[in-house]
Amino acid sequence: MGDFVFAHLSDVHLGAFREPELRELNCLAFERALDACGTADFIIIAGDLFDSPLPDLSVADRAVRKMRILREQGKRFYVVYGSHDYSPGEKNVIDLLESTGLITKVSLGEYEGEALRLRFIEDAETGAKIAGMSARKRGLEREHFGCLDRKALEAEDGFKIFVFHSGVEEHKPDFLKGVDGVPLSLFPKGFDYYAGGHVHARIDAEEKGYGRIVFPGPLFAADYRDLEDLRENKHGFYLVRVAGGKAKTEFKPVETAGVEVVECGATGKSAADLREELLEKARACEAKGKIVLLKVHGELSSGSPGEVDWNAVRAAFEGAACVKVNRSGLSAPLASGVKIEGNSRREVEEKLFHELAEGKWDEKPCRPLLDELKAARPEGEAKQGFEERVAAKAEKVLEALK
Amino acid sequence: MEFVGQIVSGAFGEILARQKSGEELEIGELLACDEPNGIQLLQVYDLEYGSQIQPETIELMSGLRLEGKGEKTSFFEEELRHYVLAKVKGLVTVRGGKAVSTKTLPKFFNGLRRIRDADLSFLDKPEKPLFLGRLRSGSKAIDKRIELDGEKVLSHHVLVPATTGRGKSNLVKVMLYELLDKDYCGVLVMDPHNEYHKSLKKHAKAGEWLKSYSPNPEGGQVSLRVNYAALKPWHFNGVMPFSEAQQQTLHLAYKTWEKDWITRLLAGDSLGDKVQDVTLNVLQRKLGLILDGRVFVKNGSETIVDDVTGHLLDSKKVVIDTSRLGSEAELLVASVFTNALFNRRKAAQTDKPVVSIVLEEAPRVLSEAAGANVFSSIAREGRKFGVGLIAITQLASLIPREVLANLNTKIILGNEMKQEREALIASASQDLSTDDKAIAALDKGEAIVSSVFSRFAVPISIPLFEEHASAAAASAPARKAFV
Repeated sequence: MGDFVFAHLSDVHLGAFREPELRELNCLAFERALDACGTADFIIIAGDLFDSPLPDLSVADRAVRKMRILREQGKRFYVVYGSHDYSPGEKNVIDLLESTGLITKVSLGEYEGEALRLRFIEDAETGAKIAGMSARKRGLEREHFGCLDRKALEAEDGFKIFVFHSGVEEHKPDFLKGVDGVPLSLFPKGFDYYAGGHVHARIDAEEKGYGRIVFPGPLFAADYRDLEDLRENKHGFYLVRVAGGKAKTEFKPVETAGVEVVECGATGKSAADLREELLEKARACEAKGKIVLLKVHGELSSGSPGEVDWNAVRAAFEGAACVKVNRSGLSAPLASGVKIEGNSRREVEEKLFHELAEGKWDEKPCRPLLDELKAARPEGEAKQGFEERVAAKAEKVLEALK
Repeated sequence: MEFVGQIVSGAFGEILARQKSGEELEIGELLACDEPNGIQLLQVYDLEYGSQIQPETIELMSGLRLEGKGEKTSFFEEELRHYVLAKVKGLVTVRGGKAVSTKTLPKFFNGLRRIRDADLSFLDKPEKPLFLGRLRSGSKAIDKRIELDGEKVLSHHVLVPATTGRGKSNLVKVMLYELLDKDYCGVLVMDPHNEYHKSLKKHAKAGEWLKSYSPNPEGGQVSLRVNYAALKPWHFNGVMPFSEAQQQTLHLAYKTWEKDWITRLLAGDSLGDKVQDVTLNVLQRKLGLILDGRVFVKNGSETIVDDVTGHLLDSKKVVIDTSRLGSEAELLVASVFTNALFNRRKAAQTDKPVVSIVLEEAPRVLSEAAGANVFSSIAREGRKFGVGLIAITQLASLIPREVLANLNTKIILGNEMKQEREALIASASQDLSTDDKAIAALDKGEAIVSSVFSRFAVPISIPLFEEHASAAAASAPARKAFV
């Protein structure tokens, strides 16, 4: 096996934002990343290339055009589903791209009894052997990890890459505390490179007995937190040079737009006062070409958040690439809500039913009804059949009450 | 009516009943006495011989047989003249399907029969059950699950005292297996023999409810690594002894260097004139011994403490394999997680879900010699915050009386040491003063449950874990396909 280079991207989340400007920046980041893959023999995308299983076609079209150029140059794309672009039991954009020959899915395998045997894809030109595990919704891939025939994977020789889209329990960033990952002990040992996705943070760790475990983090951003992070940290991908069977990583930042965070407290201010203050902050901000994250929080003394002219505020950030307003922490003085405390989701749900019913209607059917309605669709079951089954069960609950 | 005995004399709590010939009563056997206003349930606690013949005559008859001068001699109507007398005590009276404390003697000369299922209808399944085993009458298991109110029992602490080989681990495995998918409680298990993970992962819902950590993880266990930054000076209380000067230095280092305090202490950094070099050197050596870089690490694993406490508050069962750790390192790991849990719970001002901490060789942290630490705090005031202990020990007598009294459920397995039995009897929630022999005679897998949450001290038979788990696993769902 000779020396070679591959690129490792993940969490591109094309189509993630509602704002056209952010969508554009996201596409731009992907195009620039592929432009920077010039020396790579192949490209690994460790899940969530798209933000949904069926993305906006204009976004998909643009991505496909760029990927095709690289494909025509002889570069190969190896992909696993992410938690966003996977859909149980249905074809999705990743399947479509594979049908065209643009990409190769590397999460191949089947159950033999209780053991899940994965198959390697061998990159014909470099000889690199790639196996992978796609994500499932709500971390259900952990169950498959638990059944992996690790010994068979470990016995394979050559330069091996394991592609996955899951957090690793031992390498979680602080913001993922309390969120389940997959324990390292469920991964096959002895791979030369573990190409991770799903964790929106850059991680490059050497793990004894395993090898290099790498997460590039998001290529651009998928949500507000990512955008905030972009202010402090460069986002991008890894270029991995393999020489003498050893992998050496180089992080390649992808430049898009700078990020400016503007915060404003609203407590004790009227809606009109807040508007004036926001306009003043906007005028003072050097926003040209930047993504502005406007964070407004607190309780207004009078008026409602709707009375602040948000369009005018946005426009006041002159030349900004995009102004994204986060006012989830902003409330009106008269805003009322139901405050529920509970130790489990179940308890909160039950208390909420009780609170909302106020004794005016029978809350008893809510619990069993919700239990039936929130059932997850099992893999392999068709959507229509599943919906019919759930509806029938829900009807049964209601009938039992008559 | 199939009587096995008849009340012939005695007093409250020490009734004497004659055993019917052909029947064989056992110590611990449960009997019922039908009364006009309900049923009294009684238990045999001692057995002795009775005879209508003068002792001198019996001794003479024995001599004739033994010395070959009258092998064929026998007593006329022997079954009437010789018998067994059983000492029995009232456990509870059942009236209208409800159990009340027994306050009367059963009718004199009344017949006693063995208990039937219908007598036990008052043993309802609580809403939040904690399964302990099956009801036992003598050495016979009865097909009646004994389940106490788990939320109450776990928050008011459990003691599992027994000598080696009496089935402590089996009992805890069965309890944890049954608790695994119950959403009313989280359980932190310090596992010094790395046996609970292997056992509990057989549960069909282990993937969802079981979280395991190990310094040598395999098959789904997470690496047990605690970042230095998670350590606080008070985590060492009860773990290893420090002099007053050393304690003050620990606190000063923490105040001065905050999350870097361990790293700086281990590096031998100076704290100025306030601390003598010799104190720093001793601390550096002591900490270096326990923080060996395998489990306690300088870099990485920043989320483990929050993860573990989060799992517990989410009613998960968390098993920590400490089999390759020294006693001090094991206690330090337990102390880190327990402190974090207890602080979170106190800050949250809630006591649900209840979280229980399983700790072997509990006197290490609960004895007077251990001093004040988070475990003794939990033993005293944990129930206010829904945090309890499942303390396992061979030597309950080392636990101070006031702490023993706070462990409100005791699952007493066999114990041949009189001193230990006395400590347990003295601190039990029911009067076990007549049960000394019964405790000594408990076989492997047999126990007596004394709890403020049960009407009487319940004799139980604990199923073998392997059989119990395989019976439950038979209905596990089929595996999904890989897509």
